[in-house]
Amino acid sequence: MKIDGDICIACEACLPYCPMEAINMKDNVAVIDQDECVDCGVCLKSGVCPVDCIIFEPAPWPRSLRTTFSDPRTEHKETKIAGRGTEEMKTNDVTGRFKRGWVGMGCEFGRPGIGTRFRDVDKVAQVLAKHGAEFEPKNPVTFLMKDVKTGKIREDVLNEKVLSAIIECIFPIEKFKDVITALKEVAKEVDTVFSVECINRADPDGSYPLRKLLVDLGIPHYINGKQNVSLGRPLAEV
Amino acid sequence: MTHSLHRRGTAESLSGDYVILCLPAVGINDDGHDSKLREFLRIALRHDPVNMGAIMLGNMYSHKAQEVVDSAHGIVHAVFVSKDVVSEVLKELKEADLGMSVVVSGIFENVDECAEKAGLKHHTANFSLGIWGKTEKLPSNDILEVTTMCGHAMVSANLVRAMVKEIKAGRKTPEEAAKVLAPQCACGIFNPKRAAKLLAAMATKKS
Amino acid sequence: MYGSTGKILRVDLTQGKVWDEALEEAALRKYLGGTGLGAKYLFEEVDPKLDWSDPKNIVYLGSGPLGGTRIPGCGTISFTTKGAMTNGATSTQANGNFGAYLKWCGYDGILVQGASPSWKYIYVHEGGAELRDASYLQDKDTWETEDAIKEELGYKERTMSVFSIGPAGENLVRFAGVFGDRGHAAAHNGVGAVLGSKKLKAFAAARATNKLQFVDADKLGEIAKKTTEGAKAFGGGGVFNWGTSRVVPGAEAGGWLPVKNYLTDIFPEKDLFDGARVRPLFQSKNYPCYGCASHHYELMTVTEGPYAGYFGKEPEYEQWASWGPQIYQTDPGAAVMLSNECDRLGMDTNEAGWVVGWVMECYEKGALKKKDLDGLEMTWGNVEATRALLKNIAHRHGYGNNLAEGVKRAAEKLGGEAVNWAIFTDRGNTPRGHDHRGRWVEMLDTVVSNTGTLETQMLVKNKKLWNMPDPMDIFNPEHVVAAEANSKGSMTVSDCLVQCWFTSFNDTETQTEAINAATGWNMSLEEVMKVGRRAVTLMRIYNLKAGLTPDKEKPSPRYCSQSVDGPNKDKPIAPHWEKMMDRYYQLMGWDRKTGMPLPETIKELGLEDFTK
Repeated sequence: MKIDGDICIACEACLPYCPMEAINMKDNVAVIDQDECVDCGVCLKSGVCPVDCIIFEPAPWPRSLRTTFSDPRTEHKETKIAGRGTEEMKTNDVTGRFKRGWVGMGCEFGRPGIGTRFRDVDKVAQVLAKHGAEFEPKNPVTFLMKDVKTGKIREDVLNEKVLSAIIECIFPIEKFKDVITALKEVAKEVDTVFSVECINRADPDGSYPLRKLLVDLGIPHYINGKQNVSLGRPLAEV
Repeated sequence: MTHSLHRRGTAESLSGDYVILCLPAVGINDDGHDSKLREFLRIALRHDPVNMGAIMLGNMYSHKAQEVVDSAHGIVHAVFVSKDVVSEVLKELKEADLGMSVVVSGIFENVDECAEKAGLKHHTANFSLGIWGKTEKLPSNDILEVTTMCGHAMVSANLVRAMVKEIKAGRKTPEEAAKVLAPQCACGIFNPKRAAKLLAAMATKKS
Repeated sequence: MYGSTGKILRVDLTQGKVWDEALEEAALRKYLGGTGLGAKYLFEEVDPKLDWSDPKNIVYLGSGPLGGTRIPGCGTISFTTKGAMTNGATSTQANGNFGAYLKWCGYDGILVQGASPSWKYIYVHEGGAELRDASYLQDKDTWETEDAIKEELGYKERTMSVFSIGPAGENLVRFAGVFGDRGHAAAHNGVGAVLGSKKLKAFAAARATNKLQFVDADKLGEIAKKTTEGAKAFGGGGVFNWGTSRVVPGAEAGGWLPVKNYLTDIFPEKDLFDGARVRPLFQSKNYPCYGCASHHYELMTVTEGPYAGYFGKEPEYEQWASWGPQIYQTDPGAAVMLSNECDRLGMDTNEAGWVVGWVMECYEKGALKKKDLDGLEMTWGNVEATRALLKNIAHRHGYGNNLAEGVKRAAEKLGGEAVNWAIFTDRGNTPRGHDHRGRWVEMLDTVVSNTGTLETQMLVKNKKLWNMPDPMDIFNPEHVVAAEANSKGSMTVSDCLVQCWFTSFNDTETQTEAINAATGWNMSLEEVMKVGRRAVTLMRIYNLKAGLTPDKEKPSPRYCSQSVDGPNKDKPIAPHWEKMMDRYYQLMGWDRKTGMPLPETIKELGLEDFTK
């Protein structure tokens, strides 16, 4: 995102809107730090600028990644999905992606509100891969991997900054303990935060094996979460 | 994606915060899904949601509710503040039999109660294990309770701070301040009623 | 030099030449800029006995040490000249962008002298300045002129600031003003007529790269923030969020809304003119000045009534007052139209309102008939007739020629009882858009003002600093005089800086901090306070030499009459007037007989050179 310095009237109204704190006053106009800016478009779409001097100029690769990941209104060319992730568990009643005996995991880097560069995503993706996680093929971060078996992300995007980027993967519930332990370790090495989510199909009796496992392992989870309520059709056999 | 997960808050605060999503599975049942999502929003609208969104357009605070309904595509959202209302909405959705997947985000026990009342069974759960990594970079918890209501981080912490300042100075009511934040969340899963309460509490804290 | 560019642009219209002229730091410390510096130039270069239309009259268009910083309100400019209404020194300000852009182009001000044989406008840009042909701009209104010049020179909307006179200025209407940046106005005391007499149509300043040097730019940034916070807090943020758009209902309740030429103080339709109602209704959009985050200035489109579709700027309170209650009409859409038409024609909305209201009263009472008014039926509230009359005045057509002289001269020319119906001061100026029978401080100020425009008021952040009564009883003569006399100069400081009152709220302490952060002069608060007082006094001395006598400092009979209804009908000011004037002169340190500041007053302000 850029500010037209010829028009900006230095009213400072836009400054608090930027989630990355990338807008600051320099000399007598507002300036957007190009490295910190993730091209999410919040400043422009807020309509707060009284003189309409905030501009978005679509950038070439690899910077173009910033806006596809950070502005949820843009659709990823590859997945045709807007937003950062895939349908994931939301349509599990129809897709059957997450079967009993499996755990889905998502690590959303930069969330909430800190932002991330892909080098941190790369670090953790490799650790997850090492412990047997399989990456969701339709996920935009997976598309950036040189090799989905190792999780290594391509070099040319490692420095690009985005509001958040989510690794989605799946593995048998037996591997959960190892994965979580490794994740705890690598978490110490990342320069940002990441939000961790786990997905589990309910057993016929309605209980979630993963929930029991979390209790056994002493891993706390939020009292609130998401649940699919079986309204999708046709129902998958899972 | 998990934009309606990871909403932070106390049990009390979260007991007034529910998000219902509705979407097709691409490649399986997404043919002509727009009309079904429109129907979802119409059902939601009958129950006075505090927010509603269709991501390509926006939400009830950036656009008119009818415009949101008309632009339904891909995935749609509605936000409610009472589990009784959520039960009613789920009942109607069951009857409507739209064939679209429906996901409810909220306190697990409460959502289960709602599903049961509507004669529905939960299928798959998404648990939040919280925030890991360099958590020292995070703003204070009370700010997070507001900002995490937009899963895409479009409600900036600085904007929340600016709004608290406005309330403290008596220039905005908590409701007016929440209405400045709400339009930034493109998906419309931000809960302005809950936000107003949180902002009011922040404004009365001694700083 | 820091803060200042170190130079002004001299323009000699008779010779058709422009050149740079250096500024002395010592003079800047004493006068700062804007009004102060303008008063000094006026005194030094224009014989007070000259007529305002003499080519030797000057117009000083000035910014000051804060111009071009991003402290809110520093895009304002001040015009100083010998004005056409009072034929005395005057200073009038307009907000917008010009002050900032002028300083970025490298000038603290523009001093215009002489008269051009053909119509010209001044174009200032990063590389310098030039006089350009303005013959194609003749008879264009002020908005059209802005568009035309931007198109001619290839500048898009906010990358250039243009201030121009309209047909009224071209035709030497005594109350013509200068208008720019979409309707900002410097309109008091006929500065537009002076420019018209010089055949100078407009000033255009390009937005240039800021190369100004400041001693402490970071401090200025902090002060910018502090000023915004202060503006947001003043009066609960009323002006910050609404400008003056919400004043009408409260003014009516307080008995200071001007209704039907002071014939009544009751205006039942006041809520129709409330900004909280009008803004959402009329599709308004914020159009702020350089550096300002407030929602004072909006552009709007009328959406209902016979003027639906009319696009222009939101009327200031002054314009709601003139084109609603004063002419006794109740359609806000019509008021938007008339306000903008008056701006476009280039006339002061206050004077125009008093003129039209007086004409309507004359019409009602039979002193003026349709045939006298070129066929116009000037009944109360007749919008179309008003629109036509304004055009006639601007073009000095028919009876418009009489009215173009201002309400005092027009009334005196008509003679008889009609003189007693007009609202004016004996100096020749008229009040702003209020019923001052409910606002005594301002009646006093209007009458004694050296500039023919507002010199002081209650809008002062630190009342204690300026020794103003607090709490203030606005109908207590002693309080009124003390408020006026003691705070004299407080607003003038802002006019020397040059900074908008509605952002600074005349917070002299913060302004002192800002001056020092910009210039490094280390001025004390007292020194800065004196700058304002000095400028006022200098103009006072000038006006006395120009022929002002204390007996002219008097309100017209209607102006100081007793209200017949409303909350102030039992509070006539007339019985107190003489005593108030005595006390005022005493507090100001002026000789009661001659009106001249006493020697000790002159010495204290370092103005001995001007009284030799």
